[in-house]
Amino acid sequence: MPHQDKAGTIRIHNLRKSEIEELGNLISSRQDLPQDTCEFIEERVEEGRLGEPATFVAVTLLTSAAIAVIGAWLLKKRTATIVRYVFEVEYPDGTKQTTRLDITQQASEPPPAELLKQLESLTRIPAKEIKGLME
Amino acid sequence: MQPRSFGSDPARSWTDIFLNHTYISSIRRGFNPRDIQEGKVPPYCLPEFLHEACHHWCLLSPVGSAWSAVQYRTWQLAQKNDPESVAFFLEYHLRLEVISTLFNPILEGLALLYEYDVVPGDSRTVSLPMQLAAIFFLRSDFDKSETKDIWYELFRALDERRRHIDYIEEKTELLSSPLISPEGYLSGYMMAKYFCTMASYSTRLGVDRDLVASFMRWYFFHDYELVSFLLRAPLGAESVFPLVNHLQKRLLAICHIDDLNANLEKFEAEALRVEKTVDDNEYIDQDAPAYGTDPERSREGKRLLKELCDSMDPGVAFHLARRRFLHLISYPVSVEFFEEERFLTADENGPLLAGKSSRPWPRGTKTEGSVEVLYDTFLHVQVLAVSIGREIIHKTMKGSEKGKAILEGQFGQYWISRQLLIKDAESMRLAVRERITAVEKEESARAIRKHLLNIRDDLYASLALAWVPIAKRRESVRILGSAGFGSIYNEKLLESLAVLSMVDVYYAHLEEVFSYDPSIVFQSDCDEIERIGRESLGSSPIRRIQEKDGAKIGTRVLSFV
Repeated sequence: MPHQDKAGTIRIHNLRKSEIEELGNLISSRQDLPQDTCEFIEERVEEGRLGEPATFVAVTLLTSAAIAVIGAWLLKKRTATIVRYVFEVEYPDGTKQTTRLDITQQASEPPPAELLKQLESLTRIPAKEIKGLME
Repeated sequence: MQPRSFGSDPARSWTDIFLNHTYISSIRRGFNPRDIQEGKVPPYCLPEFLHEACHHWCLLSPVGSAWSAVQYRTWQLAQKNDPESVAFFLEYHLRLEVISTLFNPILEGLALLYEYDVVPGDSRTVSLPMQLAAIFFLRSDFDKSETKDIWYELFRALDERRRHIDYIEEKTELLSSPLISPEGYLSGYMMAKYFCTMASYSTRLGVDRDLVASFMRWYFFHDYELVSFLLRAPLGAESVFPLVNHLQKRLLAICHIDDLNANLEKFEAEALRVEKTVDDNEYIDQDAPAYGTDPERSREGKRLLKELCDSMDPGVAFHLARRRFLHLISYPVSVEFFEEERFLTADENGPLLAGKSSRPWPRGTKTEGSVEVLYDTFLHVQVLAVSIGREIIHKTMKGSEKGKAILEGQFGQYWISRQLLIKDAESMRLAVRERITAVEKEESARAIRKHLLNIRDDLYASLALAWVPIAKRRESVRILGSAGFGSIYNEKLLESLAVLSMVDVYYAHLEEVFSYDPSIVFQSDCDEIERIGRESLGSSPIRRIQEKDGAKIGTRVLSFV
């Protein structure tokens, strides 16, 4: 993954194997993104421990293009599934946040708009910018 | 590269075999510990919770204790360099390899059974995972002697949760995982499910899946004969073969138990008897050895287990005999004393909980500490503990007065011994790793390891596919080996298969499922699943059976997945 000074990082935990394939295929289909935009790592359990079935984490730089891909991928998922993912963000200023996104209970806005709003809050990247790159 | 998790929380749940300490990743930071104590854990945490609670429960057993004790023994031997210690280390290490290679799939299989299939039934005994699910997800003031209403409530909660798309997607993923793998998730699960399904179809008591799953746990983990093989004095590396043979024999025999209904009845009575006496912590003496084990070897196993606990460092022995605490949550917090005996804790999300400390601290003290919620599964007492270093500054307990009084006298010693063990564990693991590198060169060790892997793969594949005709089994293993049922079913049919396997659990008739949500699975999906199963594997993973319920005739599904 290319290193960029002062870029933040976002990690999405609790991905299944089929989901990293989905996300990987979506990235491959985008001409404007380097193929190594996202790194997928199996979350290992230490020796001497019994672990639940393997989960994976996707690691990518906190850029509007990468977040647009993630947003497009999330919009294809069932809304009830999204709450399973744990998002960990490290911002360029070094501060951090760990959270989940939940767009199931929001009656005021349709899921796509609510998702963009929550992505904006999570990533500090304007929703308009994310949406523009998703289209 | 391991992903760095900013909150220092791994995202994958686990259970430590030695400490029997659980980490449930979905019950993590952001949860107020008091909510956990009040039984308000959100439903989406149920799958992981049940999975790890089952692991904890299986390891909280004579076999679990012996396994843990042998592990500690290897740690001790790894620090000595005399030839006898090196030889003994190799032998104990091989025993650990045997049990983890051959037992991991059944451990995972049982845990997945609790995740997807087990519900409380009409039996007079209820398993620990079901009890814990009621306490932490329904209400914390649940008492074992309560009426059956709580179990019906839990049944409904599990049913509702398992119809959630997340659950179905998770099950679909499991069904498309490799049949042959080191952890043995799919093969172990299918083996456990096959036993459960056959029990539900062929015995009266077998309709209670919690009872059947509990019987499986007792069969494998209260096997004192296995304990004797694990703990007996070293006899040379090749003496590990009787252990291998014993485990093979036990695994093959479970699906051929004579008069299973009578044995389930006997087990139910035994489980009730132990439930009434377990508060005394004297379970080794009172415990009945598992079905089909040799009485004399079982007596030897009990004697060896008690001798071992007596001979070890008292702190370790205490800990081994009391690996009974289930950990719900544990994470670092900042602690600030705003009065001499009043403190406030906070994490990265803000203030967490306030309380009174056990002794005065200087006002204005700010330091790092930790918050932990754990549950004593013998005394049925919950503990919320706030600590600074090794000192517990605050503790609240919920449970019976008798249980709390007993635990009050033991908790401090448990806490200190656990802290010491955790601290020593890493250096001991390093010593073991270094010693393993040296013994890996031993030809006998390599030969035994290769033999073990072949046994595991053949054994579990055959057990998992017991519903496939023998003539088609080898070919079926080849077909399902790398991608499970994803090799023969497309995504839609896999999902339908996952749904049908849930229908099986709730004894619902297919017609009810179709009327409940016709979009989930169609009649044509059932036909296709059965057709493709018969064509590819010689048998279908589901069976549709017509049965009469009063005047109503319905179609019931039996599922082997």
